Amino acid sequence: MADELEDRLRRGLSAAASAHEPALRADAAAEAVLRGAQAHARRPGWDRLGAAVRPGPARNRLLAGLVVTGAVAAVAALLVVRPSTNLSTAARSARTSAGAAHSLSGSGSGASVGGQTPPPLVVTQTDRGQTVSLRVGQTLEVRLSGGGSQRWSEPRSAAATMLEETATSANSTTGDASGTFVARTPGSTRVSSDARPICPAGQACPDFVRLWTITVDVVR
Amino acid sequence: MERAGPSDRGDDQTGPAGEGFVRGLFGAHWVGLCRLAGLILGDFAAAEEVVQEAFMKTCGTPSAAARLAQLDRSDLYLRTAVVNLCRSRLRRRSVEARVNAITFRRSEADTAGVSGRPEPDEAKRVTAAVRSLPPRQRAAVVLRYYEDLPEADIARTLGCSVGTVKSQLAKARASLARLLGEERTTDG
Repeated sequence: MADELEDRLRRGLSAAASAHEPALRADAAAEAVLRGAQAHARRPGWDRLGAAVRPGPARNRLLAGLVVTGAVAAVAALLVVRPSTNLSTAARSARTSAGAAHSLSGSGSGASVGGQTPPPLVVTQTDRGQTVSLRVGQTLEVRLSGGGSQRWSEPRSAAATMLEETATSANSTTGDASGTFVARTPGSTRVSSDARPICPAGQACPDFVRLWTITVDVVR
Repeated sequence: MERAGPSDRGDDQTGPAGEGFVRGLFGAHWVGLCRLAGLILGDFAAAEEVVQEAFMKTCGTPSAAARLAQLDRSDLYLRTAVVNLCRSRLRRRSVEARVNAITFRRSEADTAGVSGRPEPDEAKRVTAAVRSLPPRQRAAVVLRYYEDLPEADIARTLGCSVGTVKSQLAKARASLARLLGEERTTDG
């Protein structure tokens, strides 16, 4: 009786299995897994990290994890500190002067300090991701250099009534772009542009878009 | 399932994941593992996903592939990965089935996918009966009666003792005898 059941199970399972062929062929399935493996391997540092973390005993894995966490924290700290240290010289000085002017002028004193308009604030592509402060009436100049290898689009203000565009331009040959904006009303907005590669005819060319954005806080 | 021979180990370890080794594993075990997973899951379409996932987990990175290549019996390692993934999926599916039963008044049998050629009636009856078993019993039955594995290998694959395998198989046989016996009585 037990043998009969076992025979029945063997025959039934075998017949059911042989009635099914995988829809995907073995070589296609292997290709998919290998593509996935190569994508992993291309991640910067992933393979080195995998080799360091995985094969060792638990203690080594923990130590490696701590090292990685420390490195990530250090990079994050640098990025947090970066806004004040990496702002271009012109932007830094202008921001300082704007802040000083603001503290001197008090509230509601208008665009000028002692009859003088604050100097224009100049930002370049190195100020990407920064936040700058402008006083109402102050001018923001954006200068983006393509260096012949990438083409910047004309910088745009996200709120034209708050930060009015007075002149923008983009040179398709050199890739440079510039824009001048005047702060009209208090608030916060963004100025953005993007760069694409200048591709010589008949050559392989990377297809990328480099975004550039700054946040502009306008104060009275 | 086909047994791994020395040729499975692959000579080409130069690629990012020992490509020759991985291709060799697929060539030797893909179909067998898909069928094994299909019988455990009762769903041959989902079986392919599970086997792909097992391959990704065991040799989806260069370091993992290198470790697998160093094993004497990489096929056993792969089979264990497939069976474990099947059991995980069955557990998840049983939760879904319970929710579906409450929400849509639908049973697992209604939702299990079937693909490929129609199975012969006897095979259909046997697989339906096997599908009604709990996940671990189901895996044990397929490994015992489809793969023809000894109880010690089944224990190693399922990560339990030989005694547990014996008791699981005994319970499964009792359930299957009742189910298939009842059918035969009904048919006759």
